[in-house]
Amino acid sequence: MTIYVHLPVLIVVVSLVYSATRYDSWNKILREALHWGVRMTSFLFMIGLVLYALSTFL
Amino acid sequence: MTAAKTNDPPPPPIKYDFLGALLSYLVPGLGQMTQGRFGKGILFFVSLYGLFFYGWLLGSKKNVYLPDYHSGETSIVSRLASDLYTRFQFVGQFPIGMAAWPAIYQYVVSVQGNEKPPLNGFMSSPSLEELNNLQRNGDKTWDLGWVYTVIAGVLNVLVIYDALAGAAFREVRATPGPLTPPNGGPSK
Repeated sequence: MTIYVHLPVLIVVVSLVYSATRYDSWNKILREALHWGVRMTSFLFMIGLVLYALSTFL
Repeated sequence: MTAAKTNDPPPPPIKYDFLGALLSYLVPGLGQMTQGRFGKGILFFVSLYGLFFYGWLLGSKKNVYLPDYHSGETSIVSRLASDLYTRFQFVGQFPIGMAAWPAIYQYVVSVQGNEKPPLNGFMSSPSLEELNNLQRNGDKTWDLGWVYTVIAGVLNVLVIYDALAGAAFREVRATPGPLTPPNGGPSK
């Protein structure tokens, strides 16, 4: 089993906790957490894509 | 460049809650709960303990420990510093609070010269052979586990600060004042 299945737990917790330390209103916390989750997932996906391309085509 | 003038009142000065910060160090979210921010406290508690123990389980329950490798050091301070340098991950795991204290207890017992670890070896330092087997024979899950525990500990530093001084962006609720008409005339 790939170790990447454990990644969603980390992304959800980091997004929620970080956002909750920035705001007190639940609306803002959830919106900010969603933004951070999307940002982190996109960043990791791009890194994965680059590494995959390097390992496949080089 | 001139700053835009607003009629908003300045936010009230921050009141530091040192007891709340201490409670949030001991148990993540406990300080927020005592401050009446119960939902946030529960969120911190579940998230950080969830992440910490998830990582601990990923590491076969053998990745939160402080080894006693430098018994030859002359002073206890240099011994502790050397052991922390050897297992620097524990510096990141320590801020999670009481959940990491069994590892400290095991370290103290080991420094006192006791061979057999108490608490059935809970958070005691694994033998070098065990560590080699965990790292050599498995995939990277053991390493991923300690990374999760360290991230949980470091996130709790943010939670402690939130308990001490509040959220990073404070929301000042506007209190409704007397209505004044736009032309400055007397209000009715």
